[in-house]
Amino acid sequence: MKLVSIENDIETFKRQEFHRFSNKNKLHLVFNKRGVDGFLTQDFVSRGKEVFWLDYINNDFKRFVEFMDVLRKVGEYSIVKITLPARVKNNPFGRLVSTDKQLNTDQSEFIDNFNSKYRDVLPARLDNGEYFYRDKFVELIPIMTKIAAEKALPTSGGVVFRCLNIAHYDDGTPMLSITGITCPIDKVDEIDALFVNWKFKSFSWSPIHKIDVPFLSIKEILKLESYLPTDPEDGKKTAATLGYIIDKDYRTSLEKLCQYEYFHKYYPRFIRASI
Amino acid sequence: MIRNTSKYEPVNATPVKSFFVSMLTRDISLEDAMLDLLDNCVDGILRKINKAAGEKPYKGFRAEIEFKKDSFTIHDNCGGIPWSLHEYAFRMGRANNRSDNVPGSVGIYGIGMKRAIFKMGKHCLISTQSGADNYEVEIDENWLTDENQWQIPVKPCKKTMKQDGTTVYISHLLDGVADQFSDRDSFSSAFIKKVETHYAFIIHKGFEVTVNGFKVIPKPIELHFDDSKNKKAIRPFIFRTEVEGVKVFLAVGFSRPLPTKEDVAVALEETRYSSDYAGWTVLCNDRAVLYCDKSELTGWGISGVPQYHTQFIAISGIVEFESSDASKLPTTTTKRGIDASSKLYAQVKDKMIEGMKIFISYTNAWKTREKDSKAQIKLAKTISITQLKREHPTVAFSRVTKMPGGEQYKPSLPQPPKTDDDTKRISFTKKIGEIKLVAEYLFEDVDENPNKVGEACFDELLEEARK
Repeated sequence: MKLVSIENDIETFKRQEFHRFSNKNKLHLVFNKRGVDGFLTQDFVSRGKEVFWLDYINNDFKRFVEFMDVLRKVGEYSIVKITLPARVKNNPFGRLVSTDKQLNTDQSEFIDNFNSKYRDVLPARLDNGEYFYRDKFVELIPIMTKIAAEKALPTSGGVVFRCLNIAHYDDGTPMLSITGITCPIDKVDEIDALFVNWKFKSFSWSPIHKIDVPFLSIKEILKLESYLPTDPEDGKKTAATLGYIIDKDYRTSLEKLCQYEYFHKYYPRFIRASI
Repeated sequence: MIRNTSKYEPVNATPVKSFFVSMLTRDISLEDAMLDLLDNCVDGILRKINKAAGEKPYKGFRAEIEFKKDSFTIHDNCGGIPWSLHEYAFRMGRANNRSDNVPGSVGIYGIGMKRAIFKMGKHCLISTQSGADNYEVEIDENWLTDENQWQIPVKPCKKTMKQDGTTVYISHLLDGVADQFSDRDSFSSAFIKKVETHYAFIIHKGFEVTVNGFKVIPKPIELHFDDSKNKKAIRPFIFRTEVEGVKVFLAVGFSRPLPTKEDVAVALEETRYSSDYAGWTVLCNDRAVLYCDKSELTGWGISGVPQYHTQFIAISGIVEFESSDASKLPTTTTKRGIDASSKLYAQVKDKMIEGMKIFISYTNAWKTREKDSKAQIKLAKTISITQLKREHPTVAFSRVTKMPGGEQYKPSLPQPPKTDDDTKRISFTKKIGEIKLVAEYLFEDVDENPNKVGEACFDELLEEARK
């Protein structure tokens, strides 16, 4: 399968070119000023199963339009992943205290603009800040993406987008990644059967799997190595093994270690060693 | 030639079930069929209340719509169907001699509810309670196909509802409908949008609608109205009349400040969203039959009015037709469109065009001076159509002698100063990367508006040159 990386910023494109791995036939770098939209219109021809990762740094409405375009253009059994920031720009909402709180002018104006901009992928007009308070927006994105997916591939068309996984992580900016597969509607059960035992599955667009793995020192990793995997993966065993908390309080520390128990084997660590 | 007259017997002209079940349903979309059921809820309210009473006559009444891939339910507390109306409610079509009109209804043909049911599924249970009347009507697949069976069984309800109302439960959905309901979130989102537009005014008058648990919250169309004593000020054009039992109220004006060149570019880039509230909304007995229309049907692109363009994003108009006799309203049979052949509508459309031209002319006159215009428009508060109806007595109306008669208020909008000034527009194009570089240099923000960047460059050099 040929890999295609699309960039709309010439400097990023040059940087990608510099970092390109040696097998040039496999990785095809494309510079298109109009980004994904331009690539889909001008360069893309579906050759069957494809893998698309729409890795965005903003969640403008246009991103949802591009996601819909990709779904419409790829072949059956293609994997499509969309990554979006899990926060909104210039959001005047802070931490949720009470939903009864009266909105101030900035907040009302913000909601108004948001409704106007994203109305096509919103479940309804949002009239309070419920989804905009800290940590709540992450719950709205899958709903918006689901609406976009259903619009792009309606059931009546025979091929649907089956959501496989939703992951929420923070790499400086809180991000949300949604991965799914386009498949004929009568094959959904077969697809589900393939992933039924997968602990990260998000069929029916839930749950949102939070990834917040703590940074541990090499010494800590080596110490915990022999106690993993744990059952249940609740952080208690690793917490007891370390014997001290690794975050602000015991509860947070336990949550982090629970994350570590859950994800440790997906985080390979490469160490340079002289022999 | 001997003619054989004996073979000519009276022909059978009785309707066949499939005409109602499969044919009539083709003329209506699924969303419109669902809206027909909502119309019935409103008719139920109108049977119970005095519509003229207060600003929120529909307060306390609600309809809950719920659908999934195998069923549809609408439940309301809008008074139910009195047994005395059973013939109208369940008979296919409306008898000529029927005298019990629902004032304020939009139903004329007596087909809405039945057509909606047949559009969706093959089995339906209607439970209703109105005072002492509490009964159930069940329509099943056998009834739909049995040509000899025109009676629908009715039985008393086993349960008593907390409030008088009706529940319509439809199952055995048709394939196409089940498919659309399977895309629950997107269909629900699109349908809510339709309810938001078509029921905006009824909801503002207190009616509550929920769809799959989401409350429908329409955004009202509001117009800028300067309530100062200034003669030249931003106010809407208003026209009102009454023709053969139909009351007409029309208002057109600005719903937002004029867009700048950048606003227009952004609106085009972000497709239709910013234009959501521009154009004409036509109401018939409170239901929007056209919403923010920007076509010839409402005067755009004809009689000297330009085609709609994003630069006219600020112009919004509303026309209200009200009549106790729904047959006099200029609507189509589906109740979601205008009957363009209506004489009354044609006359009112002339007034729409007259009003619209005032604001198009203002928009053109203030082009390139949007900032000044913005200040004027912002001085005028925004008010809803209900408030406008209350406020408009403060302006002076003049009589309209031409058909359809009535009276109107023609605003005198501020004019820009004469253009014999010494300014000229400078416009040029540069590479994005270079603009960003200069933006960073001047504003420490690469995303600064390119116009501001260009203007700042000029101002800085001008200052230099003046030294």
